[in-house]
Amino acid sequence: MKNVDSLIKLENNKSKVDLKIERLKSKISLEKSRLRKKSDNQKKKHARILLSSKLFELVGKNSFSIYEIFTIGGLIVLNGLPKYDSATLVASYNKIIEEAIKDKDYKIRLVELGKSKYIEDRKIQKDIEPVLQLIHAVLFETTLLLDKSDLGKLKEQGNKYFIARRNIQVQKKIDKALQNIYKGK
Amino acid sequence: MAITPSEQLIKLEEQQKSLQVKIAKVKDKQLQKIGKLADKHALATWDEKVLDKAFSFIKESGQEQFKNN
Repeated sequence: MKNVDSLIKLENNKSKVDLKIERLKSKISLEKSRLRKKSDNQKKKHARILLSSKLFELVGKNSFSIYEIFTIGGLIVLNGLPKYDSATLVASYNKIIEEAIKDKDYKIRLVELGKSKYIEDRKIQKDIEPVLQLIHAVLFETTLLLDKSDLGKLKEQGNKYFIARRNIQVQKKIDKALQNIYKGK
Repeated sequence: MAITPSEQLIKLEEQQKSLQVKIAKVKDKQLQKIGKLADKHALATWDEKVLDKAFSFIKESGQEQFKNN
């Protein structure tokens, strides 16, 4: 029966295609999770630079959740900042943050800017809290600052800041070790 | 030019759909033929349950035995 033969042939072809689709789907989902992991790592890396600046002095917060860190990383990417090196970035962040700490009016302006940027920029799908809105404003101001600054000079300042920060951390560790020794005596 | 996995997936899904359509058409044709055969042997007037039992019997005994008769 010609009909039966062609039906068997078609069913065979279909099961081959079904199998191919299944394999391809799992391959695509693996690739997606790999890319997602890569982008998450990138976000964490970018967020870490901002968190090593004087940010905590401005926002009055001691830590951020992992969700907030990813959001911060996303905001940094959104503002096109990953193209700059970490020293240049940290120096620029510090400039904006120091200005905001010194000048209360500037801080208020930043808060307002953060709010309006959140409303206007629909790329941010998440409902972000005021601290993150303020950070968004700091990042936006940083992009403006970077456009009109001497990047070499900023990089130099950033490197100095990193060295000073590292020295403080090392000193803290030494102090703690010494304390433990004294306690032990 | 190499195509991306998602493009390949779209292509395969189109292929899957067209195969499903072809299979449905062939099955429909086959059913019509079976219907005509049933009509020819006056089986179309049989009670459905009885006909079902007859088909089960044919399936169990295999179609080979009818081939050379």
